[in-house]
Amino acid sequence: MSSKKREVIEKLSSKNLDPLKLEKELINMLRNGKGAYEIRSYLKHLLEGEKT
Amino acid sequence: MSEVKLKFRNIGIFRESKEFRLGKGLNVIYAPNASGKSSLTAAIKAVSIPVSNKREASRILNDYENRGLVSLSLDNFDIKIELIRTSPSEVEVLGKPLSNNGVVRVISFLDLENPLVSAVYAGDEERVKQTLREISGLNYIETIVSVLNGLKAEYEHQYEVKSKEYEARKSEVEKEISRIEEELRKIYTKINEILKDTRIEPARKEIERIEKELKKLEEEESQKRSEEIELRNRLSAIDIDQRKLKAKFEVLKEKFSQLKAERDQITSKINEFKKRIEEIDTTIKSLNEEKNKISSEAKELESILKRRETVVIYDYCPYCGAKIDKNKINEDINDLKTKISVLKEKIVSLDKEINLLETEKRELKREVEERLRAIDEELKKLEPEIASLQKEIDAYNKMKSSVERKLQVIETEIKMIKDKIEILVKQLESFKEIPLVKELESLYEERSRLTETRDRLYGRLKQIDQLYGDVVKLKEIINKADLLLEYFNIRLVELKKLVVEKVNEALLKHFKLLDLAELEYPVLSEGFELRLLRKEGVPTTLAELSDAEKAILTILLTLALKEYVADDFPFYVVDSLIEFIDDARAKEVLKYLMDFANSSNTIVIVTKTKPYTGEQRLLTQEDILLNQINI
Repeated sequence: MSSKKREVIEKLSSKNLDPLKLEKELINMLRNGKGAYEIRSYLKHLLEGEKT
Repeated sequence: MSEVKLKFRNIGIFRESKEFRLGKGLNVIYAPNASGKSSLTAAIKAVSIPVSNKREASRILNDYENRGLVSLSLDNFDIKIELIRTSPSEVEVLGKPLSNNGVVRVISFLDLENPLVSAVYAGDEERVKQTLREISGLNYIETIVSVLNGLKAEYEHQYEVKSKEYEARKSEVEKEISRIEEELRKIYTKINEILKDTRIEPARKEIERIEKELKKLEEEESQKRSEEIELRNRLSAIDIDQRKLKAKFEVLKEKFSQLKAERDQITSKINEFKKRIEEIDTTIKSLNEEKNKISSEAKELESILKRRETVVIYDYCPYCGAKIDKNKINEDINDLKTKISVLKEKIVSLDKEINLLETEKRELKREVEERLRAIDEELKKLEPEIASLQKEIDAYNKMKSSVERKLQVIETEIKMIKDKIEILVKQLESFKEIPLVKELESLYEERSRLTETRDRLYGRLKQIDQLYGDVVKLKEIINKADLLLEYFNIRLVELKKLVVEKVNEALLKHFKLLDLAELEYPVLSEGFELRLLRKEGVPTTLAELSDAEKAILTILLTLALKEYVADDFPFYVVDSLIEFIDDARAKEVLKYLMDFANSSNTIVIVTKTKPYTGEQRLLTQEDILLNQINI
């Protein structure tokens, strides 16, 4: 893993965000037929602190 | 994993129950055309991955049937799915398949419906690239990045609007405060001038005392007012939060009572449902009895028909020696055929009726049992949620009462200070014959009025500062979006480069297949472009490859990708593709797949057409050859 990526992951973790888990979840959603609209609302909830 | 049992009914060309066993390793289904090879692989596909839509499911179910079943027994578990026709072209699939991984369809089921197979055969390199990008997740990461960019722009716009609004409102109040402070300064100057004036000499001491006390009281009043404003702000914040909680509480309570009402309604009708199910069962039973009766009648007539058809060719009866009246027997035969056909039609119509009733019964059961279970689960979840909201609302009520009590105390204190100020100002009246005292009195009143207005404006400023909280929150959201964008952009670069490297490494492992396709390594370049080179290093294109080379390339790419994205999926199915490869190379490919199956613990299934022998028959267990390539 590049040091830049590690740094970004650490910064996100300090904000209670797990990008690796998030990536898996979003890709699974897209692979199972969900579209950009669902991804947008998922990310919106996450960024606004309603989901961690 | 040693053996897999596959049972199905009414799938593809099969109209009855079938059971096949597949072994660990390479399973070559070697049977004539139209014997059901693809029906078997379709059954495996249906039970392994989610069927994408009702039309696809309709292609799996036998055209003449309304219900089909597929069950798969792997070492420790069984999976079952049911197909139910909902309209002539649509079929619903019930049950959870083996895998939910969306890429398995492309990686592990190489049939003519596979988008990668069709793109390779169309020679469409762009479509191949897009499919590979989808499999690796690159397309999805691009979608995520684009959504994040959109969201970030939206938050930045909100931030700009809110911070402008905040700045504008703040500056308006600040201007008003500085105007009032300027006026207050003028009043103080005037008061000081009066206090220095010799004309107030007879009452100087008393006036100075009043001024001193007034100043002290006004400072105290300002302090109390600031506390009052703070309490009022807190009260309105509590009100807002409480209103939100109450609204949520009402919604949940409404949902709770709706669910309870629905539950009561279903429960009250449960006896009706049970009665209807019993009626259906009785009707199905009597229809089945009728069907059996008609079937045995038809069987009996068929045996008479067979006897008639046997004797009609003789002049004398081979059993009793009597002369055969051919016309009469032919009449009998026609009559019997008509009767049998009427009976068979009756059986078909009875079957249809039974199927419909069974569907109705299943629907009724689903309606009652599944809905009740879902309602109970939801009610169970709602109860603690409602209770915790009620607790929160109660806590807010307590907080509100305490703030209100404090506010009352402060208001009383302010009123007392104001009364004291009024008394002090009135004390000046006894010196009204002294010049300037009248002016001083009105200056005090003006000063008190302006101080109150200024204090209120400071309170307003504090409220505006609370708006700043929203601006800060937006800034934090933008910061998070920025970091997520940075992460996903790093992943994009990784996928474009590193995944291609990994796939190329996997391709190198399957070097033997590359060799059979007469291609050089590697075949994927950065960004998932196909880079095809002939053995001598001569560049070529997908369209220029032969059908056999295309088939080998597809197998090669999917095998490499399977290791990368769906390593644990137990099946790898190649349906029809092997037909495109000449016998010599097909044998090599089969040998390769057999080695792959045995080393990776995968059940590889390959269909191959047996040369036409004139027989029209359905697939049997003997047509499945385990780990045999000499065919």
